[in-house]
Amino acid sequence: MKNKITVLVLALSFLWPSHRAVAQTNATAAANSGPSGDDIRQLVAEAAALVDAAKTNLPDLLNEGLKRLTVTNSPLAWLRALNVRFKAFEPSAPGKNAGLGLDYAYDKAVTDAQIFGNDNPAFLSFSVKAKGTIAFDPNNNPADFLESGFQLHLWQYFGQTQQEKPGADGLTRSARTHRLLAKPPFDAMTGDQIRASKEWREYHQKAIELEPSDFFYDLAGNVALESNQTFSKRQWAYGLEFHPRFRAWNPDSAWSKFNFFDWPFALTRMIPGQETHFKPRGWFLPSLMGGIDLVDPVGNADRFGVDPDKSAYARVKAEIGFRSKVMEFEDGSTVWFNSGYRYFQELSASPAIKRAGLDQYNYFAASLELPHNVSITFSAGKLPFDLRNQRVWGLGYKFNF
Amino acid sequence: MDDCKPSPTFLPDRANQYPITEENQMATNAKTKTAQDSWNNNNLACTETWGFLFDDEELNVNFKAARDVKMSELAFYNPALSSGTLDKDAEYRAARLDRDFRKKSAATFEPGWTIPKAVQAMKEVLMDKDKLVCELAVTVDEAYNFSGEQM
Repeated sequence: MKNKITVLVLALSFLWPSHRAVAQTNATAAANSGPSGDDIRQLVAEAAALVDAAKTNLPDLLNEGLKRLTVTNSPLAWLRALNVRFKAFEPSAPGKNAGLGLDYAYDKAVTDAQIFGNDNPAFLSFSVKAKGTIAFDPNNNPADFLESGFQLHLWQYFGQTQQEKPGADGLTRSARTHRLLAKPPFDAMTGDQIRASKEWREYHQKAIELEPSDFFYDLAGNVALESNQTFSKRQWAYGLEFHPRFRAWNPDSAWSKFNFFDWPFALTRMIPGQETHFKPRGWFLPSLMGGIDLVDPVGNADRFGVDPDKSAYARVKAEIGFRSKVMEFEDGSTVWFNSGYRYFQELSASPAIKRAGLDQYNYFAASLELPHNVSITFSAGKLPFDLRNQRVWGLGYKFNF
Repeated sequence: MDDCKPSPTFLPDRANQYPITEENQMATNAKTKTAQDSWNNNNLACTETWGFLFDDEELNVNFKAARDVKMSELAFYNPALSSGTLDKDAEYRAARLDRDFRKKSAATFEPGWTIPKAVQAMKEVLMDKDKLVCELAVTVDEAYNFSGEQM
């Protein structure tokens, strides 16, 4: 009986760690001194309590385990960070067929630590990254540039720090307003009708007063292998990247009014008649990236053919991206303008490299996304490893399988 | 004259896709279906996810229609960017949502969740162009505990 109780208690203590120490102590005491009748009754009572507690808590424990599976470094969580999308390329030369390929991006943060800041804490994160475009026909890849590596990055967000308190109904102002606006009659209105409602306008005005703008930055140190998709050309790049994001939420602020990137679209948005005055958005400000790399060209026959010097060189890089709403129709369908420009410049390049045009790379891409899944795309320029400038126009249609 | 009606898939008004049609349902995987079924206006994770995206003009549709809006249809999702820079846009968007939930909605973290974990989890959804707003709300619901929740 004593052995059975000991085994039961030990088994339960294994299942329920918080009771483990107490249970083991009791079991050990019983084994050493010989149990009295009271000891046995107490052990049985404790065991029964443990069984009840285990029955009650097991689903919670399992749910907790399942949640951890999805948020920590389990294989599932690692796979979830992979994004793949198939795409079609137009023919790169007369007589060739349109090609198929895919874009992939993988980004998994494996550690995070708060470094400084209380109201606006800064976090350090270690990430494994891979991204690129692969064409099933390697000769028909308009963006033949793969990047795989590690990144240590520091990020910090500066936004509203004032804590809003729940009211008597247990809801904060935002929770109360959003819940109200999610219910009839608002759930049958258009977005513009909701924005015109007194409830949303009063709430939003207060929200802007509390947070007229916000700022985010990510400073990243990279080690990356850059290559074409066949790896016939490859180089290592060690560098720093800085990604700032600033958004002005007050439409009357100077940042909004003088966001000249959005001026053309503030005009086009007036065409359907829903916007009656010129209103550039401070929340459609461009996204920026600036960085510097030390590049070690371990396998780049084109470069070595021009300049046999295989030593590492410094390279600056920058990217700017902008997306804005061109117009929106009453039924909610929207026309978007997307653009992105990437720039790479080798510092102190040799005359031979300059003459061959291998010191500087520019790449511009833009698209107009129309309703009914139609898009018009344009890209021009070259990325590292591209040997010629390309201008590619495309008319796309997205199918949902 | 039913043959002349356009397929529901091509209707621009997303409100017409609610509730989801049989064709859409067939094309939707089970996880997405579960997320769509859990989208309701008594769940603060859903209303706050929609509300903050609506406030920032990431989307401009009502709560019902927002359920099936894809990440690629949100205002931040610029497909002309390199994936690295788009990744930072998604990270910024996730960090802003995190601050919104904690400061404006007074949400707390569910056990085991922290700011970086929640931001990373939301960013992974935001980066997936085919994920829906209701699937983002599921991640929000997993990570945050909203006071005043009623089901």
